[in-house]
Amino acid sequence: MKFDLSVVLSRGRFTLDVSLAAEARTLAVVGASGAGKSTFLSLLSGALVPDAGSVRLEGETLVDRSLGICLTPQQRGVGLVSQSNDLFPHLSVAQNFDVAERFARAGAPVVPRDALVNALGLRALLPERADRLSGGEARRVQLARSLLNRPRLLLLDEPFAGLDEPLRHEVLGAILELRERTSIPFVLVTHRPAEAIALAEHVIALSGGRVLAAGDPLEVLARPEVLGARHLAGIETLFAARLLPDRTLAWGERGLATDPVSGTQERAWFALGADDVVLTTAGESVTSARHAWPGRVVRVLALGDDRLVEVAVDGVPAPLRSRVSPQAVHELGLQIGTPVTALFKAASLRSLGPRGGVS
Amino acid sequence: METLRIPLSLSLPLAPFLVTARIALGATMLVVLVGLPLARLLSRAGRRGARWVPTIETLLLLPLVLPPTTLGYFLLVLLGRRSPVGELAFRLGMPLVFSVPGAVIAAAIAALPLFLQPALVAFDAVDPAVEQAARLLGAPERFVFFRIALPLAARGVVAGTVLAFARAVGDFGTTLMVAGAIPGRTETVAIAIYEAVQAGEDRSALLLALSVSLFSLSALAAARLSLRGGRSRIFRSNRTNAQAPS
Repeated sequence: MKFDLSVVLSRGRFTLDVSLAAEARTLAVVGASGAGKSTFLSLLSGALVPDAGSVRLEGETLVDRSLGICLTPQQRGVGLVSQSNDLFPHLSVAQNFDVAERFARAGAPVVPRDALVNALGLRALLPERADRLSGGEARRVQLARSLLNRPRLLLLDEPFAGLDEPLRHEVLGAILELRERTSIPFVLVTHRPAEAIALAEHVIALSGGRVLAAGDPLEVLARPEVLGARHLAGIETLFAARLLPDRTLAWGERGLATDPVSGTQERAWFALGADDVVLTTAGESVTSARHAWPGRVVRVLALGDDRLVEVAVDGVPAPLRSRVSPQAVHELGLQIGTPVTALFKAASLRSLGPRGGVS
Repeated sequence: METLRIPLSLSLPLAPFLVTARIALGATMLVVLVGLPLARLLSRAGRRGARWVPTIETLLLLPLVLPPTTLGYFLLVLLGRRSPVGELAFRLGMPLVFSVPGAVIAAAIAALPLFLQPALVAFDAVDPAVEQAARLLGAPERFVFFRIALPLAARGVVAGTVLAFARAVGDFGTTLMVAGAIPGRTETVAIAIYEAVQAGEDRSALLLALSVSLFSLSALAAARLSLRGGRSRIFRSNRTNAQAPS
């Protein structure tokens, strides 16, 4: 989706002054508290109207103060998954979905409810009242409700806020699965850089209501003036594993050393922490790690005191990320094109989503 | 006059009860009709920080603190034949003073603050994010009000309705000033009790007083029972219980 906006909004002493021209399926907005992230989302959703400027999505004007154009939230077709539980508390999960479908954007591709409910593991929750759901359940229902409304753009406002690690993985899996199943673009607001790196193709870093940097997530976030190395813990490689006929899992052409799984889902989502991947240039050797995958270094990025190395593994569609020390980079002679073997334990694979691939 | 024969050779006139029921029901309907959109408007304006809201809320609370005769006097001036409103109503064949419509309006104005207070608190307690979620899904404002905000504020709205009805049943001074005490038309139970005492009919006054107390209690109990998970929570409407699910 093409984002083209230039907005100014003043609220008391705070001023948001953002200009952005970008094209991305998933755009991440990062920054500390008070940077203006949620205000930015409110300008997209129509909850706030800029004092000056314009917002265009895919060439269509949502707001243009100079032309006197300002679409209401109802007219925008922009979905929002709020960080608080904004489900209709007096209605059941199914009734929440009914409302979303009743006012769904005409002409937009239909999102089949049954498939969505199954993919997010919501079948058993359908008759439950929305105010009786746990945090992770509510967030998954919010995601599904937004998508059933067939938005042209989905805004995710800190979708992992207030969730512990297992629930975070559950919601992360849901987002990945939805991104796979639909073509709806996302805007993700987060204060955790690892989430932006994992999910977005383009990132804008805000500070004090202004754009500090914009571009490739890793390159923007690795800049010391943006966030600094101490905030970059928790970087992960996220991927979908295919379920093979023998009920084992594979990522691309590489089998995963996990137990056979049950269920009918055609894929399962996993996260692999960059701190859990060890690199060696000595070739495959006998180690306790169940995975030893040969590949080549495709990127080496400085992350403060550490380095993030991306490795293109033979037969795997996306690079593996490994966080190593500068000394290791020096001693192994790691640079673009260096052949390496990436090692990781089966226990390092964290299953995402409600059903999990392996557990 | 139709009377109800009861033991101890006492008779209880039915007319004041019928008049009271008619006026109180009419006033309650008027209060809900006017008060519901008013409460919603004030709540939304208050959220946006509109500066006029406290002034209007104070003015709307005035009937609660004004002496009923003072309120009645103002209404008499406002609705009398010498006022534009009263003259127009008279020409339309519906005089507003010393009539049932006048009594309904008087009781409604006296009861309005008692409806507004719990209703306002209840609307204030509806999470704005939930309403905004409905708008973002494309729901029009009518849907947001009737299907989202109103059900979530229902407890406070019902509490306000019950309190307004109870106030309309018990109104004396305002109704007397505006509508007089015409037997069978505007003489409510409260007025009939006063007149019975004035006439030295102590037993009639006692019976009427006991009956209206029982009537009011029954109405309140019925309202409580009609609320899911009722109990006395409706009479302590505040931010928490207005929002809480049953």
